[in-house]
Amino acid sequence: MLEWTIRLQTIDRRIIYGLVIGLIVLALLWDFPLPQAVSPEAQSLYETIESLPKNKLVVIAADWGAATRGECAPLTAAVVTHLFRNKRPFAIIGFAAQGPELTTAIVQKQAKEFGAKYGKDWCNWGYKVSIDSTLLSLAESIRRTIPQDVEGTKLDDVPLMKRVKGIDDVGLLVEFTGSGTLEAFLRRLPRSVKIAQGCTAVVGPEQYPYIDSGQLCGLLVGMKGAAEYEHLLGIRAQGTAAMRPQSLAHLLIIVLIILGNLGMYAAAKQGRDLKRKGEAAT
Amino acid sequence: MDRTQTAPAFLQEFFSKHLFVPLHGWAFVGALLGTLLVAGLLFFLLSALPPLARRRLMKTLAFVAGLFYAVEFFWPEKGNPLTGYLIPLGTFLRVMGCFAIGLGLISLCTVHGKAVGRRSEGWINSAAFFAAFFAIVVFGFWQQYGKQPVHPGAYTFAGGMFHILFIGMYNSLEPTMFSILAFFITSAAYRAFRVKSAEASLMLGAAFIVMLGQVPVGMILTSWIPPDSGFAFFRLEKLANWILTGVSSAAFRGILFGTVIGNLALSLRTWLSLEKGAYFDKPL
Repeated sequence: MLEWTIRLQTIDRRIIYGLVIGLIVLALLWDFPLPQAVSPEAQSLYETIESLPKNKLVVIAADWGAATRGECAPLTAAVVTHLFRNKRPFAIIGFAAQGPELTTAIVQKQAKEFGAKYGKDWCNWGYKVSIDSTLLSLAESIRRTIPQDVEGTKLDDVPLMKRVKGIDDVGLLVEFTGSGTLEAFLRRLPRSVKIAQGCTAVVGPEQYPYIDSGQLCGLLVGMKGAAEYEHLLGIRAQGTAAMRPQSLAHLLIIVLIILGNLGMYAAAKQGRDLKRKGEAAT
Repeated sequence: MDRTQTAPAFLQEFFSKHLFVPLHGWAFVGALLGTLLVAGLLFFLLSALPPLARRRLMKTLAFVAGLFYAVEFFWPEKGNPLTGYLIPLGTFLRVMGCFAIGLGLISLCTVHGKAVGRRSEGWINSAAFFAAFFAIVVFGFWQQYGKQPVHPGAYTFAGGMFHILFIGMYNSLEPTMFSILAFFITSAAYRAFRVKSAEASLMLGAAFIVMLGQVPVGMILTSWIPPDSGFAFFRLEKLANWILTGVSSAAFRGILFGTVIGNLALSLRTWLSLEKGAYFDKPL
């Protein structure tokens, strides 16, 4: 029995990989219900959008690419649903090359469902390089920094931009990212623009200090953040569905850690017993 | 908010008429060739300067360039004599940023070109880079500037190929690589988390709470504690949130202060050209 327990600390990695893939597939196929709590940070973003004045523009900063699509796409989709549902006009900008394109695909899909139109309900400012200098210029003049949208239409000719004169007409900026780009927004945008973020789980812990300081008005972290926001919206989409495999994967990690430690203690016990026997024999 | 419109900056009117204007056709080609000529001339003059004079000149230029944003930050309220250049400078920096794409391309082609030319170990991977690179460039430009599909939503040959390469392959391969982390993290956590000391036990305890608190299944474990009771804090989701927003946040704030002070020191050293080996220290 002790021998078997000792073996628990050296489980073959292929068995571990097999268990991970097996549990993920099982959880994706088996739609079992799970409760969903909402963090104060997600609640805060939801309330900020709810209380946003109708004439204010929302800017979605799509600073993510295909690599982090797994987490960033459900986060973006959840917030876009809220914006379309509340008829809040928004513009997309991106400091990652693929971000605006991938976000546009999400928005176009939802625009069909909500009957939203490009130019009237949303527009795309496109990909920009050099985040700091772009934001610095944007804070001074939106039109001189971004003279036209991705389709080549002058911003003055985009209907929803007619009432947006400058940065003071931007009520909220929500950044979606898998990297540490938040500081540039906090540094360069005036305090009149509220800033919120949706980020991958691995970046999350770095962003919490900005919630405490009041510089972030909301934070959605990883797939859990998407699930929380979907719960607030009363929908079940990608984020909620992903909570099942994530739950089982977390449980698997915990079980494996416990087994590994049991194996380690068994090995230590065996070592002590052998030592004691050796001492008794001498 | 547009402070750049309130008063023109020093010589801004002259520059806005002669420099900050988009050019088209032959004027654009002429300006481009002229710029190359002036840049080449400047480079030649710089090379001809004695090393000490060159170093002093570069240090002065670096200091003056760095001063722009420093002045803008400390003297921003109603704008300063240079505020009008904020947007043109931002555009200039963005254009400069785009050059990084070309630089990266040259670097990649040099490294992989050498590998293919010398048939060094793994050269086939370098050949795959060239194949992938040329395929996406050719089909990308072809679908953008070639014949457009007749029916909306349909694809031309080039459009279809680009869709397969970009959406079908690249956009799937990147998340695939990222998702492999799930397997490695599980395996690494199993091997690394061993309770060998009090600190390790503390870390493991916090990790268990956060891992369980982050997922709904963790909530089920403490769902018997009423959410509005005095013990609600001990529900796993609340404990996990407290660890993240309290304990972990305080630690990250400390790290943040440290890195920001380090960055400040590094920026000052770069700005004042105190870094060794900076700005043409060696002969060109």
